[in-house]
Amino acid sequence: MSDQSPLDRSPQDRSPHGRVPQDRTAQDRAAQGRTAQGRTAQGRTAQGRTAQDRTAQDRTAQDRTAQDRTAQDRSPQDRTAQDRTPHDRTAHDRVPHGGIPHGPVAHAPAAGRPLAPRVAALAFLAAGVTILALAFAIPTPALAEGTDVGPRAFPLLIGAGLTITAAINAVQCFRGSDPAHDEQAREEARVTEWRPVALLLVTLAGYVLMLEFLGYWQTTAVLFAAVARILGSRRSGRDLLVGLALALATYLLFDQLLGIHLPPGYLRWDL
Amino acid sequence: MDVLSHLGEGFAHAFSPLHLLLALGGCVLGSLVGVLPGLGPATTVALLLPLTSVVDPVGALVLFAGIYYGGMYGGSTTAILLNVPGETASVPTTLEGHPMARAGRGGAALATAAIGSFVAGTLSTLGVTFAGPAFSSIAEHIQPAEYFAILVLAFATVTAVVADAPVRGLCSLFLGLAIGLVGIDSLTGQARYTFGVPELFDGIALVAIAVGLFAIAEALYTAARLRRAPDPEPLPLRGRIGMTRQDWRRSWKPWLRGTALGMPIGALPAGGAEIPTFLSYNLERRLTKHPEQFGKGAIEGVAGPEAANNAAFSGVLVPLLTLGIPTSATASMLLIAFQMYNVQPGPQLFETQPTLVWTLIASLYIGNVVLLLLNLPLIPLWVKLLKIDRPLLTAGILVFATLGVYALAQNPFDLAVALAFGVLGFLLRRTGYPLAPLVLGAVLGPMTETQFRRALTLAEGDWTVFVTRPVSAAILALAALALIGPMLVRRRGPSARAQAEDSAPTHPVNAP
Repeated sequence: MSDQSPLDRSPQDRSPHGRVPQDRTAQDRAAQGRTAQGRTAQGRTAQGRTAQDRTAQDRTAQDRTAQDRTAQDRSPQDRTAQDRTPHDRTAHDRVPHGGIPHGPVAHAPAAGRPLAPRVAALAFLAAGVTILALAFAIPTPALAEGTDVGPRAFPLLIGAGLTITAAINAVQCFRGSDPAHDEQAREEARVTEWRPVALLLVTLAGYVLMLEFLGYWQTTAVLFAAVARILGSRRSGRDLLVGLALALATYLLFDQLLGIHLPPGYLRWDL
Repeated sequence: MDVLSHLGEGFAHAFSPLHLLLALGGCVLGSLVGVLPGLGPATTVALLLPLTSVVDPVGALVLFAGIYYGGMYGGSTTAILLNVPGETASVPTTLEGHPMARAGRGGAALATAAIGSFVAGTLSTLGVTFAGPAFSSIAEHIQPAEYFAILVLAFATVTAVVADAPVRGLCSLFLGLAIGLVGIDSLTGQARYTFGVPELFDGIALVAIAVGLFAIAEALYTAARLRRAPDPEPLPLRGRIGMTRQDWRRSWKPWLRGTALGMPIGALPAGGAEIPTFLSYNLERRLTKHPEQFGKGAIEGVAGPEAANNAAFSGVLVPLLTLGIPTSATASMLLIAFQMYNVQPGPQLFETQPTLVWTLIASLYIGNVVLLLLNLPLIPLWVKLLKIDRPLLTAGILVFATLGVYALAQNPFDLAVALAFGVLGFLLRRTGYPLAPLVLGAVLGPMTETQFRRALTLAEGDWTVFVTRPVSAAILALAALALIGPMLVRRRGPSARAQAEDSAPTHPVNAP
């Protein structure tokens, strides 16, 4: 249940894997706490590894780089969240959001290691094998021009390349030889909420299906308001108006002025 | 002078009212979208690619040159005020620029970024003006085997630069190359990986791929971290926007050094903007007279990398125009723009499309001036833009993304493709697979195959041709070194590893 328990600790944390001891401590600490301090500690160790001409001033910049990499932090919001003081983040952690469990429970599967990297690695391997298999099925025309190697050679090369790299990648993932990668996945699992993602996908799929039937500006206005709502806007009336204005403006600009046909919809509520 | 007369002609075209207006519009649009958090230059260009269906080729490329640069200028604003790098190359800017803004020196940071970008942009455009034709005449003599090797080198370096795990980068790259295979084989007419779907016969629309991987994936990513991450608060801009005498004294040398690093490295068919930017940051840190300020807001750390970044951006145009090889995600978007007009950049481009090339180059000069004049006075406006409600912003991005993709062929199929790539991009980003190699693979895959098959045809089916021709073998060896070298260094020992990490960039949003 708790990350602090040694049982839960990831196997690779315990295995030596070429890390120096004090490294591992920091690594573990970061894996457990996931607090800002934990991450900073790790950053500083990465720093310590150079053990060279680093001055104290360098360290701040260095820490941030290490931090960023650890958290695989690419989202603007998250970056700010990280930038805040540890206190901020802790406060944030304490409040359960939308009743979705997070923290230690949400991201500690039985093996103590996140599943996502291994699933992704297997998916890549499957894609590689499929591409390779389909490449063999490409018919080579009897009348290949001159000495052209035909349409099959390059796909075979790509399929083989993907299969081989994906296999290496899968072996690495299953061995857990990249703890930073696991840590990133754990962090992602901790912060991810699937509900808004699913809602957004359903909305977009609905948009794709209904666009030509209901018409461009009608569906687009709804899309705008719906996306805004899913992402947390609580002023749906205003959003719908903004969406309508935006949709009508783009419709007029593209369809009427630039001559790029946009579907008016079969219900023909023409302008 | 041949070059100068061509350039003069280019300026004559670029100064036509329509093109000036397009350059201005591109700059404004580029900075506007580039300023928005989460939208780097690559996404900016991707979102605006559909405009190609509206304007003529020359006009569109003038427009895109503006967007390309505008996105860069805008990106530095976000990096400094929000601490959000729009792409890997702006990471150093966040390291020094954001602390400066926190210390109330945001105005100086923005000014040195803008003026440095102008200096570097102009000098490196000058470089492109002369190096472009020179490279082009060399490129004409490149044989297919060597061409293939150069492409492999570009793949290898882009993969090595963006990925902290090269194996995952390679997975992305091969997947991208496989995506590029979809469609009818141009040499034999054989359909491949189309599963009988007629919409796939022409291949997967690159715009749909780009919009999906960048814009839609970004929206999904935002949704996934919704409640965990509060909106970024832009720092209020205190003080005036401008530099003191001392700022100037501390900035001009880093600008020039950044340009000297950025332009040549960017111009290599293996460069990209990340390496010179990080090199410049490290160089300034070493040379500075104020080492105690580094990490806390040293102006040199903004001036140098921003100049290097911009110089590399212009440098990247050299391989793009003369070889048709983009070495960054943003350059890939420009290549897509070219291809939408059935213009294939390559050794012949300078001869077959002189008007287009030289107008483009002339508009780069113009764009730089426009951005300098425009950007500094408009910074307060950009700051306001940073405060737009995030949900509305994402909704607006999705509206434009879907509009652009639909406008391509007026067919919902492309929208479905974009959505699928949105999901793919989201999942890849969550699991730490970089997107830039994937995009590059999808964009360059067909060309790679063509050169590969031509080389084999010329060699009468002898597969050893790539390693028996000395130049090709040497380039391939370099490519292998670029991929394997960092791995070996990492494995060596703690100190070497840390040093490799030193220059290994983080992956920010849009050009991972």
